[in-house]
Amino acid sequence: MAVSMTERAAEKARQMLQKRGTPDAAIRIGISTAGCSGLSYKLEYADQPQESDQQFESFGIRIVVDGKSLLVLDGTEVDFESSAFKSGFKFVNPRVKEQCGCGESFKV
Amino acid sequence: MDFLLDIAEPGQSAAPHSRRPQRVVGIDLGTTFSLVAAISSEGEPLCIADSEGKCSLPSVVHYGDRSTVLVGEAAQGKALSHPQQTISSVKRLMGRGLQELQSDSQQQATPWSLLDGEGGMVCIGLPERVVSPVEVSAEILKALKLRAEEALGGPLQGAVVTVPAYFDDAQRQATKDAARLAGLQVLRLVNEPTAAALAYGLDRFEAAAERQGLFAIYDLGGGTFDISILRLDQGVFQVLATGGNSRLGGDDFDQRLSREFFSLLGEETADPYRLQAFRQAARAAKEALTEAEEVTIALPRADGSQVPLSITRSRFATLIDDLLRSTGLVCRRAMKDAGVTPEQLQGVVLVGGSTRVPAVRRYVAQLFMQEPLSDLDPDQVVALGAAYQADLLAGNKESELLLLDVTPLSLGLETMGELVEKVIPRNTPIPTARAQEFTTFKDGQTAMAIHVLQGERELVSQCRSLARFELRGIPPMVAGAARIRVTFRVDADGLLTVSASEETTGMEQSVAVKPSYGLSDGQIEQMLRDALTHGVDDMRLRLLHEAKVEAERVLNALRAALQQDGDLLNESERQQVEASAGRLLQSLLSDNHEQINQQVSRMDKETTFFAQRRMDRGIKAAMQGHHIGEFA
Repeated sequence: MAVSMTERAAEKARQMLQKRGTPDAAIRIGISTAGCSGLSYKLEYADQPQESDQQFESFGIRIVVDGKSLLVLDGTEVDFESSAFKSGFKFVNPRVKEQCGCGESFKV
Repeated sequence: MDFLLDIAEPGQSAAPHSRRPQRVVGIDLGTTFSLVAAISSEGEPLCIADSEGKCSLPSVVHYGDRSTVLVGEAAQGKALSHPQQTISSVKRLMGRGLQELQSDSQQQATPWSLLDGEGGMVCIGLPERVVSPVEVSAEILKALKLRAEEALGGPLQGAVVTVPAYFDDAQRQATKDAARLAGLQVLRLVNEPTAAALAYGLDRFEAAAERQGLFAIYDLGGGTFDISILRLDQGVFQVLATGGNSRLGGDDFDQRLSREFFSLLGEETADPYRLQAFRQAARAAKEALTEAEEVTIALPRADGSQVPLSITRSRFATLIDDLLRSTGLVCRRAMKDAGVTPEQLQGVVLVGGSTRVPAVRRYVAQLFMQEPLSDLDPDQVVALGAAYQADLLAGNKESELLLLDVTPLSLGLETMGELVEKVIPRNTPIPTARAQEFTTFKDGQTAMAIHVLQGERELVSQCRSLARFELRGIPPMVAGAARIRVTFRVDADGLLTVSASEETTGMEQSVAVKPSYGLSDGQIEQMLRDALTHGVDDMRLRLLHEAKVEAERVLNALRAALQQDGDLLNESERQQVEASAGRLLQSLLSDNHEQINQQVSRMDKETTFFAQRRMDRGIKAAMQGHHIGEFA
């Protein structure tokens, strides 16, 4: 079981961690049970990993995931997208069966 | 659709569907071109281009067979082959009535027929159907909305749409209706010149102490001209004055050049294809003359052969000189309205593609005695400012900026004698609310007609009627005792609501003023000009009407008194009083307010004894049955 980040996403995360003044902190990805299609993603800074967390690393960035979320996120790759009017991190999750119209929440 | 996330602080991930920022845009719905802009990933306003990289969408809509609708360049391409199904410059028809358009000498002939539509609004007759200007504008807005939603990655939450400073209530309402029809939530309508000032960040202007300053926005587009004088105070904008001419722009430059070409060739034509070809050549020559001192253009002769013609920048400047001077006239008037001199202006902003013409820049520099600001693309400035404003209104950015606009014409009420009482004067910052008290004219009057008018003149017939309604249920009282409070409210979009209430009973009536059709800019111009030139005449008329109203009031009172207490007079006294009233009636036939006023005061003197006796009788009646001691 694993999650990962693309090089672009890791580079952006590194910039943001540096800007925040915590270059050594980890990034937490997870799920929460809300939204119009069941589940939605969480993306946060993680200063203190929890006991139940699993840790991964992509391109020098530490990623932490809690055990429950990992069941759903297994195989997920976090990418970063940027264009003139929108930019942000994108979850590419092979387990998603359907998502709501806006893509913000999903079902597995 | 992919959903994009930001990294949040621990435990602060937002609930789904509540994440900011809101997707909002600014839209410049122009006469010839329309644009849409939004705040980019870099945090700056940026125009959203189509798939070919073009930002400007021609404001042209083609209604094809089998109910297909084309917008923009695709529609423009049909203008020559299907002129009756291809609508351009629809902005000129927004919120206007058929009669009004037909009486407007500046209205150009259109290949499609104009019909009388719902609520007095004009409609456009196409071969297979009838469309309203609101529907046509909605097609343009839909195309921009679609483009924006693709670029921003989701449905729009709102839009700021710009309108010319001179748009009246009906035109603003029509613009709002078009946006709603296109599925856009209008956060606010903003005057185009005001949006331009925002794009230049004049609100963040640091050069002057305490962020204060005066600015002029000179906007010369394809078919319209607008000038605004803005004041920045403590970072807050206020529009001091606006002015304009909706029939002046770069298209007129093209026409002047095109006419010059025909006269150089010594010919004329009515062939639409050749006229179009000459117009296109004129436009190309105009654009080339921005860089070059002289250009040579190949023009088609009637026989199809090509002939080269040369034109210099200075000749072009001569051809448009009178057009520029007419903008100067409007600018000076706006400065006068604002009480501002050119020396006091901290900056002048150029807006509109036509301000690229060197002769225009030179003229503006001379007019305002300073070099105008022109760093931003003058075609995009309005849309960029609208996007900035939309971002603020959506709460995406914290700012103290408050945007104020003004009323283009005074708003008032009809009072006795067909006079107009101004409640909100011209150039009052909006939103605003003002109340004025009125009273009844006759004894026992139980209703009052409220007639809302727009304009600068003194008489009802010279102003434009916006709405009428009646306040009923006023308790019967003697004339002058009722207190009717009439409140005018103009919201942030410039739309007017009038309410009237009777203070003693709390009876209230109100009406949202949605005029059946709008005033043309030509009419507004004319009304303003008339107000200036007829100022003295108007005042004389006003005095005359006031004198007549007063005369009628005292005659009414005398008539009532004679009926009630006529027995107090002997026959000769009665004749004396009636003669006095007769002289006053006679004087009403003259158009001399002084004579009327003289007769009013003469009658007042001549009937004093009668009033005295009535008063005595009143006192006696009050004391009847009481002993004098009770009053001591």
